[in-house]
Amino acid sequence: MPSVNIPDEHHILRYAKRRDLRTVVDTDENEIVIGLARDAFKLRDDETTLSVTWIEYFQGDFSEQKVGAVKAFRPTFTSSAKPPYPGAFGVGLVGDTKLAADSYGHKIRILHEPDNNPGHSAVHRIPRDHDDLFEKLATEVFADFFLNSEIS
Amino acid sequence: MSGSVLLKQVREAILAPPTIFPWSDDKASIGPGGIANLELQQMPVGFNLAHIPATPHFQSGVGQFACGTPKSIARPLEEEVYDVLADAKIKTRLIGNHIPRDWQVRLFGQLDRLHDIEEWELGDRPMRKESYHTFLSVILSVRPSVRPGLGLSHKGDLLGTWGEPHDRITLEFMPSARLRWTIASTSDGQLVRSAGDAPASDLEKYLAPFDPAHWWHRSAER
Repeated sequence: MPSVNIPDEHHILRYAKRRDLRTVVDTDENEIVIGLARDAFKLRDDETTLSVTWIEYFQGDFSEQKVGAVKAFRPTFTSSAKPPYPGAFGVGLVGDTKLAADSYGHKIRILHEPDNNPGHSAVHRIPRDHDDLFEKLATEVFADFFLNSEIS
Repeated sequence: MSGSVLLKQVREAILAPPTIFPWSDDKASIGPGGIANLELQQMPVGFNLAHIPATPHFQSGVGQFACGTPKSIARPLEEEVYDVLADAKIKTRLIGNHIPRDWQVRLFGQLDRLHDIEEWELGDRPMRKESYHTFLSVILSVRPSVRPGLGLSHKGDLLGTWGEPHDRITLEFMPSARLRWTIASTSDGQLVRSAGDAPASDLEKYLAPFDPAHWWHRSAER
């Protein structure tokens, strides 16, 4: 079955572990999450593509689709599936992701490649070492985020 | 003596509360070579390294504090994490009279939570000791009243962020007393980002145009 290009106007979800989150300490001395950090978009040594989940693959309005995407993702990353549900998810537009990479000379492709997660998709041709691009993705493209713990 | 028994004694020594003062007016004297070469005679009152027995694992001088096995032998990740956290807490306690007590306690909690390896993936590294040494040097220099939010790069460099979502600075504390910074702030609805890297000793010079005090201290304290 050929891989499907996800439309530019659709959204993808990227999971970030606790150590890949950007946090600050508020006036109550609590450490709060303000977004994803650069290394949330870095390939691991054993990866050739960046894994994301296609949100619009799932049914319902956008909020329901996000919940569907989270619940489909969780079994593939088991520590995210147990209370207190650590980490967070960044939400980005496919088109903005491609534009960001293109601005640094990288033509990426984002393809639907279902596995145990039916919404699993892969970002192809993302560079292995490009801190500026990863910082842009974290700060701008995936600036919209929510905590894993917000989804029961 | 087994490594696990030694580490237990180190942990008990760390938990023995030293005498702690509020931020001192004196600059911390950490000697040449930085935090890593902190000499025993510069310890603050109350911290007694005599709790820790002399063994072949230890050499003179705290900077040579070694809790692990020879590098040629791969260690379990849990042991590495314990070693790194012990080193960080000992180094922090050794300059404890320059860092407020509540700061230390909360910082240790942050470091512990950051090293919850249950959700780590293959290749995730614990904090590099040299990165934490750079962090301590910067903290002693800048003396922020606000603690940073903490993260870890894949390589194990500590990341500290101050500010708020639309106006923040992130410092990446690298070995060899180097820093990388990224700044993101919103001005007239536009996101402006800046980045750079330099020796930690030059941090204030390069950040001066951004008025970094507004990140290090809450407005009521300035």
